[in-house]
Amino acid sequence: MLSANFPVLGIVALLMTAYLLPLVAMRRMRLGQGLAGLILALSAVYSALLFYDVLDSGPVYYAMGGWEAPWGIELAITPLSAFVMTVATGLTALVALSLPQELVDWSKRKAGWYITLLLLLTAALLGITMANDLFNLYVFTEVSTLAACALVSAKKDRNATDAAFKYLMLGAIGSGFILFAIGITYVITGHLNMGFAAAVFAASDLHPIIPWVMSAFYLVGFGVKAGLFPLHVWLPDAHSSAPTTASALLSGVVVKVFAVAMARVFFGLFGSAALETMGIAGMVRLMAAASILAGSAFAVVQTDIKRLLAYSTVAQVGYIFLGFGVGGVVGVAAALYHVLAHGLMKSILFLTAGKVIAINGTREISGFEGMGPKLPLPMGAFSLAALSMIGLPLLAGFATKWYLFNAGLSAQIYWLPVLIIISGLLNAAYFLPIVWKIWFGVSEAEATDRRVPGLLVLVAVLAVIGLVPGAVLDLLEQAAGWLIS
Amino acid sequence: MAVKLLQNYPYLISTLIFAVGCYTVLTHTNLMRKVIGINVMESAVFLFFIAAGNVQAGRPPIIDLNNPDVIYVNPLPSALILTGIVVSISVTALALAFVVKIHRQYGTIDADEIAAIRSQQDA
Repeated sequence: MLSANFPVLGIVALLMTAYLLPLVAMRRMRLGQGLAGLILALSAVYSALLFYDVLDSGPVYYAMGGWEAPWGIELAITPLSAFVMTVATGLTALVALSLPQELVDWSKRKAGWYITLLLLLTAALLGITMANDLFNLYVFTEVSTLAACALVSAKKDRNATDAAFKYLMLGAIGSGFILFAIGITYVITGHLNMGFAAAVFAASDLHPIIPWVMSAFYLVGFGVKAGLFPLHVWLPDAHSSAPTTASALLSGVVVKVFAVAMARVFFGLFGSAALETMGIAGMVRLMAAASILAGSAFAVVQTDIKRLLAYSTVAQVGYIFLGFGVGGVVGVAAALYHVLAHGLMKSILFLTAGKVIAINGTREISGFEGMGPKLPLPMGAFSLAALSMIGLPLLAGFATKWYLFNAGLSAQIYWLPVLIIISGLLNAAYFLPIVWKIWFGVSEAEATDRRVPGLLVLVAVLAVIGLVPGAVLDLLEQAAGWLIS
Repeated sequence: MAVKLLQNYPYLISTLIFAVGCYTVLTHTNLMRKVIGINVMESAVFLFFIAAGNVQAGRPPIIDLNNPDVIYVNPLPSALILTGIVVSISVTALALAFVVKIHRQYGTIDADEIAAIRSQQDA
């Protein structure tokens, strides 16, 4: 058993160090970076401990300041939230290993604040995942959006400023919709705590249009934040013009946390049966299918590698929403599996692509020509992650597609298998040419720095979950059970 | 139906203002107007919350032990909106900082002109 106040420690520790670190980094840059890495690693350990604990002895509900729900703010650590926390903090810690390379020619002051934003973002993501109180969820959503926008604008590049502004405006519209939906929920139920609100909501006799409006507001709000088509317009610009580590995190972690938050609100408030009869599940499936097709179709025509990867994120977020939309234990577990798998793949792709961009000084895809022999390890990892995206058997991407396929068949949604096959072909259309260029092209460029720290761990985890997806899925079905019931 | 809507006019008005704000952000090309649009939108949500918390003829929520039957206004939405205002100010501050930075880097704060500059540099 963990101590009673353990659940809140992660957020508190991250928030406190976030504001202290610039002071340290201004005097001693290396020490600041080391401390940031340490605190992120500790938060990953903390999340893993929580995950182990809730699997072992059931979910933990923590009342902030000792005020019990429904009056106080409640944090809920279910197997679902603990899993998402572990993925988010683990990936952040691994990506943060690349910080010293990223910040090497930044001023000390700026580098310090960059680390602050990174830690604030992580704390906010933990908050979103744990909050069982809708208003708290909104506040953490805002913290993460502001931190993410500031991260995007960290580079001097003027396109980055423009992208960050666009992200902030659309993000603010999204939060407006979320807050309005929370307001409607509060007016109907008189509660902000999700559990209590759901109980009143289920017992109430409402005109059918009210829950429908409410869910539409939530869908638009979280859809903007998670980059669901056609609300994704900010995503390609923002994710492609951010610094490499920020790109990896925004694409690999942040959008998924919002997808899961939406699933929690939807399943928590309405329940899966109502979602189906009200047509919300159908709408989510439709938008997810559009994301998968449109994201991949836009990715095919990109010549800028980071934009290509960003559009691919739109498509892959579609898979996660598709899993939630199909529902059932298998569908939700497939979505959660993809949260992990895509987080690993996208982090690998962005980090290794960052290496190639640093060597060539350009983001054009032609820069990958002949990089294989120059950067054997990073390019091997890139190729593996790219093939996994396409969905080659024995790789993680295949497992997601396989489980979604099964979930679709058992829910009798017969267009789903066709969609998955088309999407696999589209993915192949933009990833295979790059892999071909890497290994069969010729290049004059010289690679001086070949290291991508943490890459081996990312690749190892990706390989393991690809080879034995069943073991991971057993855990995730438990988590999914908590979401649905 | 229509009578109920009119009786609950603050909800109707807040929805209208919300739509106006949303429209402003999405259609105006001047970045400052977009920032103002965001503020209009958020104010509409605040109005919605405050209206929901109001009780007609309600007193300020201070417990009076002598007459326990007094009707109070619901203080929770107002408390939430205090936090909401802080959030909205942070968003506005960051957005204005971005506008200043964009003006320095592009020399304009018109979204169309920025898009034109960007497409030129890409070509």
